Amino acid sequence: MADKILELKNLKTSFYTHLGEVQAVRGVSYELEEGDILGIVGESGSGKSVTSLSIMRLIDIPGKIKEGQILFKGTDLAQLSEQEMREYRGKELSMIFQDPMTSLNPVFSIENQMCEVIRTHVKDENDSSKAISKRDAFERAVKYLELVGIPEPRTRIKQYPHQFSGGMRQRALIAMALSCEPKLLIADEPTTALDVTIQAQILELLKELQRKTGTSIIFITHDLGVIAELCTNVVVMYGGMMMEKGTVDEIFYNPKHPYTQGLHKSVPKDVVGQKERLVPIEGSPPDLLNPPQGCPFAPRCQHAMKICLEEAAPLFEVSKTQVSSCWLLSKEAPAVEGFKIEGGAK
Amino acid sequence: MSIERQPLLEVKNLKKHFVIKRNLFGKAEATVHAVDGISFTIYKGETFGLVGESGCGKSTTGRTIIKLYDPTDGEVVYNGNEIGGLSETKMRNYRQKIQMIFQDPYASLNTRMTVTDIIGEGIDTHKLLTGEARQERIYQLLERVGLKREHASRYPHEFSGGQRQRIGIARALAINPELIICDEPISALDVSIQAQVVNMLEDLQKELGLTYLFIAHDLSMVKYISDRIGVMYLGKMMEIAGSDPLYENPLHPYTKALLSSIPLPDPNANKNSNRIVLEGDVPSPINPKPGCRFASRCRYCEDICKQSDPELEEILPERFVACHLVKKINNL
Repeated sequence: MADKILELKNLKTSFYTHLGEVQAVRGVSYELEEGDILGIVGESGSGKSVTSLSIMRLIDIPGKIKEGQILFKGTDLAQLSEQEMREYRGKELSMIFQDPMTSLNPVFSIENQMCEVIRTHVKDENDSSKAISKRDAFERAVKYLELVGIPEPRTRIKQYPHQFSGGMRQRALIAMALSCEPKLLIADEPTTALDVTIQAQILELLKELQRKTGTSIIFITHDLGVIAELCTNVVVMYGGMMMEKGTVDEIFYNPKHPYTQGLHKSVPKDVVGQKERLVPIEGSPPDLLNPPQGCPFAPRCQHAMKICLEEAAPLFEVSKTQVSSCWLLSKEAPAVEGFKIEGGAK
Repeated sequence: MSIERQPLLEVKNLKKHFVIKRNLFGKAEATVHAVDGISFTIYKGETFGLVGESGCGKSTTGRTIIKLYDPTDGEVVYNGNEIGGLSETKMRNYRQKIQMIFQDPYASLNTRMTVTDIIGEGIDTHKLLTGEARQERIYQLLERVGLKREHASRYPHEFSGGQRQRIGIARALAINPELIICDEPISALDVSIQAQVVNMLEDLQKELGLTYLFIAHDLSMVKYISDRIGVMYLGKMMEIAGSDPLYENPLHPYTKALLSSIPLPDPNANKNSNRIVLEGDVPSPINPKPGCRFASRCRYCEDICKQSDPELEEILPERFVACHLVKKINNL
């Protein structure tokens, strides 16, 4: 068993708007082992991005981390001051955002933006009290641009973001995120804005970089295909809560939560010839201003029972690696096909 | 496939160029060849899927057919009548037959109009119904797309994305069209909502005998909904085939790469797949070079590909491919 690099314990993040408190994340706990690729899947508004922004401590007013711990190698990031957090951000944990068009500053060259990050976080080899020299920082930036597959990095680095295509900008952002050799990389829908052929390039790149550098990755997406392709473990989120967690095989071949099952049924299967009708999940996601008292999925769930509307289910252990938050897995629940497991509540 | 199928819409050598830069004398210096001579036929009652990456001209094709853009060249033949060159007034009759559903449910509904006004606008323009009959029809349409009567007096901001897309569909249905151009109708929606909308489109097609032109970049959804599919790249049609044969055995090198880059929602299938990862980016559609548009990224590229533009030819029955080397690559 590898060491745990990140452990979330009952994280709650809310936004205090003039309409009231929007409870974006309502108690999420998961852990990430070193060298692992964890996928977080969920629909818009499920709290997957806010969770990762909380880890980076990028939640700004009116948002607030209300409760919970974010243990990064044993240090609780939630308790750090802004000054202390700067030591971690960029150097220990790094993030790639969804939109490569807006996350680069258009008025600075790529060189300027990359060297700024490197010189902020990397110390000089000979004298650790000083920042790395400008020349070394430049060489390092070129090295990483080359690593992510940008042709002629020495010329391209002088250019501005508008001279790069979408795929190349995303590569430059990945290079920037990796340039300080972070232990944990959070990728928030990095391929959603890209075309499939470019997406394939970026996914191959991330896999290869992960093999080379051993960085742990949290990969946030709504695309089940991308999860299946890249990740080793998966967290399924809905309505600000974690619905299910397990290895990629468990989540795809033996899902125990009705929401996970519903997600699988609403995407077309790759069956040539016969056409199976899609089974949509009826209804729409919950309003997080007034989150439902019980399980957030209960109003859309075909198996919903009385208890589901009253109380959110705890995480039931399905196997050593899989947990699922559904009352049907409880010992007292009526037997429904597909939900029978040995053991009881955790 | 039935033998006696009737063509509903024929697109012949359609071109749409946008001049983006003119010299001192008004002569075009830089032109975006958004759609550069494509031809295809849509038969009555079928769903024709149009796929490709961003910037390949698939949306421009849809918009040019319905004449939101004037075609630069080529013909659009609807039910035997050429409509590409019609004036705005004469086009109005055809607008009733061809309707469109747009991609962004947040931008395509007027925020200052109630749902009744949005859906009723087409009915009024074409003078189909008035008074109570009109209101009744609007209620009917709302219920048909899974909304409620009481939604009729509300404004678009009161609805979620999925519900707005339903309003867009009701608006398109209001004047009994025959052909609906669906321009990425589901790409802005969540996965669980996508399936709701797709199922509804299928039901409507069966019930009302509609024909769809379904434009999308989500390849697995296109395969699911379409009978036949056209694959576009940089303003050109690369391949047209039935959706099963296309996915089972793509013939064009671009189609092969495109299909192999879809990540499947099945971990084991991905482990075994031999992915073709294309190098580089899509070239610019501004003043494109002669020759096959895909040549710069194609791994089979030979001299002929850089010199002349391949024609779309029927290589096998019902399978059209535009590639000089298609026979060689596929051992036909």
